[in-house]
Amino acid sequence: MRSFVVRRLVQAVTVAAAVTTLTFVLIHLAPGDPLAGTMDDPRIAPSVRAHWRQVYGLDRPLPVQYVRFLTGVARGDLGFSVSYNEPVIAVIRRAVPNTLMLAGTALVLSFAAGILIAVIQVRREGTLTDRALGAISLGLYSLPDFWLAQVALLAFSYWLPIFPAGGTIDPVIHPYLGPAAAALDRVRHLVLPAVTLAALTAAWIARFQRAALLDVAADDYLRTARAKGLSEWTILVRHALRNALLPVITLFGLSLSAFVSGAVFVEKVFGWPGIGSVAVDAVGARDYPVIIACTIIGSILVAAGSLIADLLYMLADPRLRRAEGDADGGATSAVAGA
Amino acid sequence: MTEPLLSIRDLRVTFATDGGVARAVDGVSLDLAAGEILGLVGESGCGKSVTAMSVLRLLRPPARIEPGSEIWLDGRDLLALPERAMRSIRGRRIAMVFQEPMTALNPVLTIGHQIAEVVRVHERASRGAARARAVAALEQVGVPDPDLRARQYPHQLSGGTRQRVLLAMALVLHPAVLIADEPTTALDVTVQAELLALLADLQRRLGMAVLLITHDLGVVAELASRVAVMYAGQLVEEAPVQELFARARHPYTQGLLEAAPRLAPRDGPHGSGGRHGGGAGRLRVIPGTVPPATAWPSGCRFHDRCSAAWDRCEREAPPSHAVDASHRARCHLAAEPERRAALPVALTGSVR
Amino acid sequence: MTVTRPSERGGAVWVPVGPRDAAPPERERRRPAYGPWRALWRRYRRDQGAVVGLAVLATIAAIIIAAPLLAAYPPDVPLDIIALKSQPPSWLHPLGTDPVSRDVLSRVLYGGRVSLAIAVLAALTAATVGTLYGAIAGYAGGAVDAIMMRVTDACLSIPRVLLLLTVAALWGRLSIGGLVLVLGFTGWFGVSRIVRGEVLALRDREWAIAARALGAGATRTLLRHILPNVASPIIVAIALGIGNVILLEAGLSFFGVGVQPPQASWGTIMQDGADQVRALWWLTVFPGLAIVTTVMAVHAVADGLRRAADPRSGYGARP
Repeated sequence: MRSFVVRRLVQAVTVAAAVTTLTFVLIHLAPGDPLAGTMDDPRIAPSVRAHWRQVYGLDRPLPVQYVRFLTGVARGDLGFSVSYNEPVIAVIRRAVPNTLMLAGTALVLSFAAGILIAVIQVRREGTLTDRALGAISLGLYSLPDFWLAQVALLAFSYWLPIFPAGGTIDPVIHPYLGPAAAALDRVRHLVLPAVTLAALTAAWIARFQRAALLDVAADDYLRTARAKGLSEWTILVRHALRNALLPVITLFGLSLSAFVSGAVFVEKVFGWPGIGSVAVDAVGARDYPVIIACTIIGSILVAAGSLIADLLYMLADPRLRRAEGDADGGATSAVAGA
Repeated sequence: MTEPLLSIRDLRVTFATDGGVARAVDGVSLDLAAGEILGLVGESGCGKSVTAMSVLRLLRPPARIEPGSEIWLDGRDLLALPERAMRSIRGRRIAMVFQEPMTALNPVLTIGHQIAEVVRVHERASRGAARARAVAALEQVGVPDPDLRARQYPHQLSGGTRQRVLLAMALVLHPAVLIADEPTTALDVTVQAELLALLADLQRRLGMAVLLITHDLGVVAELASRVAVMYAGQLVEEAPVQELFARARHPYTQGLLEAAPRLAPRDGPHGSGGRHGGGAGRLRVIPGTVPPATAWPSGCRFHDRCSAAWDRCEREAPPSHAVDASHRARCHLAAEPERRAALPVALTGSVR
Repeated sequence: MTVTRPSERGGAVWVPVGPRDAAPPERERRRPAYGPWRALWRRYRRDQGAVVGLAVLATIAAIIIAAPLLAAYPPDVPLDIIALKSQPPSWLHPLGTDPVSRDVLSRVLYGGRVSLAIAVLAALTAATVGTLYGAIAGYAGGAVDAIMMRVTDACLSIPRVLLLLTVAALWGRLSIGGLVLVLGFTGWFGVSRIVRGEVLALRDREWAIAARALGAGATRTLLRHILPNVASPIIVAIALGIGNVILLEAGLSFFGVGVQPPQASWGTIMQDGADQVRALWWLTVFPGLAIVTTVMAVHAVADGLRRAADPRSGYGARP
């Protein structure tokens, strides 16, 4: 188990290194250099430009620049943001907690809703309920993320003004609220973006969970459970779902990057100041260091998330845990297969 | 025979398939008395497992138990019970052990949990009490170190131990009826013998009735007090074990006996120890295979594989004839002693 | 009913087996011979949702191919910037007009061509790159495979949208061709994993070994013997890829970094109304419906293909 964690941590570092390398390559493949946008202005004297290029090391050979870039990222030095006029790391540090808050809430909601939908569908397999829920999932799954966000904003913030239109807090009244009211204010701002993001993901999870449940439906241990006199719900939830959750966890670990991509759109539409919004705004401002930092941080978040998914998988599947006192000569070898 | 504990009356089960309606079980009536072991034998596809699953109503669509079928226990027709009442029978009054110990246990739950679950759904037992019952049940089926085992997961146990766990799970509430569907088929021969001895021992101690489903006549010879033989969805012969092995009347039963090695019922059905070595003589096989359940042959369903068949067999389905008070056979020969007498020795029922 | 046996002289001799001139059984003779594709289609046809999806997709394709015949106005030309600015749906303009007085129906029709062309080309690019990469990794095995797969694992961790935003920001505006390449080259990681897994499983099958034993080189074995057996997962991946790229392109164009104005695509039409979604709802709703319908149909087709190709498998991630 420990060696597994170490291996996965190494992998996460590999991801970070690969992303950093990739962005470095992209920067140098792109026309001009990173300072081209801000410095190549005829009003700036060539000597000044040369000076700044020297400061940023852009006159050095590529390998040197590469090492500088890598070590810089490793130290947390992600460059200086022109549009925010502060170090990129400060911008990122403000944005990441917001993204984690939104993504974490959406994840919990989407798993709860997705699994519930799938369980209902399987319990009513082949009925109108099953097919209707299936069609709704397919529809949600086929929606552009930003479009759903826009419609949600339109519906619940303009037509039915239940929720605020954007941001994490109400900038005017928040400072004057007591702790409970302030928390409520945060929740009110979180609901729409989190539910929107969760709806898209829940549709995905429901589709997979349903397939996984139907996959285990013919397993022998369910027949044993029936012969014990358990109710169909107990069988479905305690016996079938526990097993069918495993493939969904794996697949989810693999598609976390899609989840973060969805979060980018949702954040932007709701003006949620996470790394997605920051990245999109930076594109408009041509603030490359910020976009690159967002990409690197986003990838690291995904790698961390899939590491957590793998750990969850190990917790959920006893066959992957180290066998304790295996005197019976049981299938310890199955552990090696992990 | 005394009042039966479990009584199956005219059970008919059909499956809707692409090739038409399969009549997997077609009018089976069977009684199980308290405290007896009834062996139900037959080739695969003859309907014996479907019969067993019907008793607990575990069949799922496209299988369908036809109206008119009845299964009586404790003065109630199980087939007429609402699902909720049926659930309180499963695991409590009637328990079942399945063939595949490798897959019949849930891989993500501990052994203890899976056994205790039976107690918890049927009795208002606390978690701790249910757990203690589970450990006691494991001990009863001879699992060493039951405390540790209860905390383990199925993949940590050997096949034989898993089958013992399934047995513990079935017996934890002391059911009146145990249905064992090929309980030892998937196991090594030595483990098989141990488990059969255990089953016989437990049956005697708990005084339950056992419906033992198997294709292995050796297992029947060792354990059962009575035998019912199924062919093509019907019971073709039913007799006490000694009687059946000595004087089988149906050509199919005779064929099965000849096809099986090492056959001789022992002094008593509940002995312990290994089986008798096979007698001399060559094994014979029954020609052909069981026909598909969508197209049973006309007349006697066995006629196209039967060496004693004549034109009547093709035309007319034989009823179940009483050979004597406890012996029945579904064969025209049972009603035509002259014709029977004219048959070669091999077919007259005196096998070896 | 003949088999070939090598004779001593090396040439093949046809040795009849079984009764001479025996006619094949009646049933066998009348049943038309059909290959794996027919078999796939027969299973596909049974799936109601998949058939409907295919029909919808075919209709959409027919409509956008016929766009020049169906569109009443040029898609990129303002009609009357004063009188026809931001008109709600009417008889003359069934889907309304946009803030620079272009006919939205014409733009949706022509925009569909752009959106779908990008999606199909990008998905094909991704499938090609992913297939080659995955096939090489799977066929090579060992350390090469391990390294190549670590790279794809790392790439799979990069949120595609952020990577696309990076590229868009660095290059400024992308041409349609550039967009296709960028979307294609950021979409192949999933395909490569699937193909690699299949190739790894197939390369040691008897027939693959037999092909090599008969002197086929690695390239030939891979291209002629192994890859055809991986065709159905690749086709499913292409279908899913098309759906994803439609959604992505719309999102990028919505952010202003995808298809560039005045060129119409489903995403850019929505972007034109993004500032005033409430007032100009038709700019968001109609292209949105076009996207949802198309992507749903694509997913239905992909699901049907997957079920037809491998009835036991259930999944396909949204990459």
